[in-house]
Amino acid sequence: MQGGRPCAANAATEAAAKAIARKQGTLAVLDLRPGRTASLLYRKHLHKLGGKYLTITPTLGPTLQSVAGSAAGGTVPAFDLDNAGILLSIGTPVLEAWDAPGRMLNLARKFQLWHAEALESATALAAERWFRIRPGSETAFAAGLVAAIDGDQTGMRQAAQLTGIRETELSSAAIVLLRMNAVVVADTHPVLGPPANETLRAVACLNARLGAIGRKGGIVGRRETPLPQAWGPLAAETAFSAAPDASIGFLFIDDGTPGAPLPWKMIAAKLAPGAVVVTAAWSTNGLARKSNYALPAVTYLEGLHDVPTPPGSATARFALSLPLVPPAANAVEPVEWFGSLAGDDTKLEARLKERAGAIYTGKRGQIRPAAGDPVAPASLKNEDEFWSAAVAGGRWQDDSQALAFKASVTPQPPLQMQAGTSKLQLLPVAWMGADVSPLMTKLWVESSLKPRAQQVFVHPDTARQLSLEHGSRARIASACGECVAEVALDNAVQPGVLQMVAGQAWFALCEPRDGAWSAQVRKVVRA
Amino acid sequence: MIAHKDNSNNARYGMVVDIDRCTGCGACMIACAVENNVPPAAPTANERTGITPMRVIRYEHAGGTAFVPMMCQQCEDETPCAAVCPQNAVELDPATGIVGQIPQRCLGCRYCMAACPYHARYFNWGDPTWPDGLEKTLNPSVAPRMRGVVEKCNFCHGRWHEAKELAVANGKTGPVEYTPACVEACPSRAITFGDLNNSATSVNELAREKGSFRLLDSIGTAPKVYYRSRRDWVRAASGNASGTAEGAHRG
Repeated sequence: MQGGRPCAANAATEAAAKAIARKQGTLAVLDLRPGRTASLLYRKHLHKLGGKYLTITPTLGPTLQSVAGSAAGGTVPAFDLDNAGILLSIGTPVLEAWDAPGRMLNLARKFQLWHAEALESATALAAERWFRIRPGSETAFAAGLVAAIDGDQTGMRQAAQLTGIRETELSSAAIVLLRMNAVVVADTHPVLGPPANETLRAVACLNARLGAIGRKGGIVGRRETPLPQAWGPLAAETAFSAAPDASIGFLFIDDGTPGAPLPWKMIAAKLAPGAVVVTAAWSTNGLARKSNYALPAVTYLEGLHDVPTPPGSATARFALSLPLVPPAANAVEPVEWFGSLAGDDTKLEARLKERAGAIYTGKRGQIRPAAGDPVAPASLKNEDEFWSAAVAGGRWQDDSQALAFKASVTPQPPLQMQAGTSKLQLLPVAWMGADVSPLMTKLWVESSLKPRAQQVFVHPDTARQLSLEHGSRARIASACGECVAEVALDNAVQPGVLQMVAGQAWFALCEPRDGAWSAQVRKVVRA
Repeated sequence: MIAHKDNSNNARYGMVVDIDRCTGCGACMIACAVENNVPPAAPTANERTGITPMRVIRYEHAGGTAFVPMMCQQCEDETPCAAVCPQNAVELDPATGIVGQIPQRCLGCRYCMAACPYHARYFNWGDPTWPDGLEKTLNPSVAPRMRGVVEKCNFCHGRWHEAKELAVANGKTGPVEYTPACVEACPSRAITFGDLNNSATSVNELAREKGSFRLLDSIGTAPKVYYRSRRDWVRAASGNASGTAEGAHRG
């Protein structure tokens, strides 16, 4: 076991080769940042090796994935935010980590941003309208809006009770959403993970009721960024939650980019006895700590990578992220390491060039240089000139034409609206961003702007009920673990809610559920 | 009235912070530290002993939460820190209106810290150190401060110098336009910066608008940092008797 400590690439290769040769359980890759060229290469290699390509957040994003299941016409769905009147976000950090924050802030001047979340997040604070729903009532909120559109009084009453949002407010919101070309998104939260499947069904239903599917300013179709034909068939993308329990014999985790925490329990449940886990990680914390082998990964700004098309873009994109600093000693490019298992030693840079060549050959769209006017690929001499433009900071963007998109099945409204079952809810403190620089200490060591680890924030009323005081210590237990944290009183926390920094203590209390994870508090006592 | 008594061709740099747009992300704090070569905190540092020339303060109220970016307010009248400094290490630059801190003169008595009504000054308890590798990110335009001196926000004076040099090279005289690091980094564009003496600037216009106010305006230090909010309780918390924009615009 070398978990938590960086290991040499050849040690991990040897262990992986043995695990694959044993043929006990499935061979799988868990890609924590799908949508990159590296992601497609994983799928290429996995097709050759007969393995599974797994994701926590689907490449399209959970909301679009939920309507793509019933799509027609051969295009992939995309949000047409340039033409949207209102973007209603349910628990999605739209202004923080969902898309490029600068792009979203510019776009948010064109549409109204409405946000429904229990947490006082940066997106909630900056939104035009913030529905402060009760924790765990996202499904009820979406279903309540569906009920309001359908004129279902019983459904609205039920939703109002569960969400804490008045019936009149739900009703008036539904009227405005219908009139103002609205579209709804419920995508992955950086700490809470993807929305529950039930929430996605309710949101798909709400988008259908609002007429957003296939409408300009709603969910439209877009073409994918071209692929070299020679890359051949690719392994299908599968949701990690859909993998059978105790089925994976060898798992490679690409955790090469900061900012994707995940409870280990979720992974452990899928591993067969004796399974080998290799994680290519940017940090020795997190998943690398629990893996059998931790490979130091060439991370953001250390290597040449591409930037996936952001989830809020209605047109496909291709741009490069260039290395600014040398990678750490012994660091490996995750996809190159995995490619070597499949007998492919091609460097990622060469693959990126092949992809750029395919885009050039397609003659679609424009390349927008860092300075100057956009250039059509057809006006460039050859692929090398296209590549040079990309390396110089140019971003290729497909023609901005919204393609037809039609969902063949209108999802039915969910019948069950259930909030969390326990009286006390445990939520993470609004996402703090990745701990990537020592200068981040400005945020929590030298100021009180961000909370410290091992602190739990409670409303004064809740603290009084639990006999807790500011500065006292509380022992918090859930169904799967417990921890001790220092109590801090905070008026901004909802009554009945405990908030903690999403560190190891928080994840120790979490349990996987319905493709996501959450923590239900069983007991809180003074320690 | 915003215009200064001085009618010369001098600039009077100021800032307007829209509190309603600030989400408390802290990007300005990090950008400030990176730009001005402020090292990461020592393991034993805390809010009092750390160095955060730009600090976002979270303010809770029954009406909600507000985040207030707090930095040197660049007091113009009876500048408290300059008034108490025995070394003339603090000077109000008439060409820019920026309150400058000169570390070479500072003897570390910290009278200025006691005098600052905004708690916007910090003391270097130790020599600056950076973790291995991070020293490569140091800004060559800004000298790190040594142990035993006080420091504070100077509206990114290094950037002003660069802008001035460029202007001079192009044969331009008079005030120059530049952008401090916090303004550049703010993802929600909550901070506007510019010359308050120039009626064509956004900062001049915003500072005059209803809803703009200055902190502790009633003590008469005439800060050049303005804040804005549509929320009554935020304005009321500014420490002004009226909490209104009118109070802030006293010239």
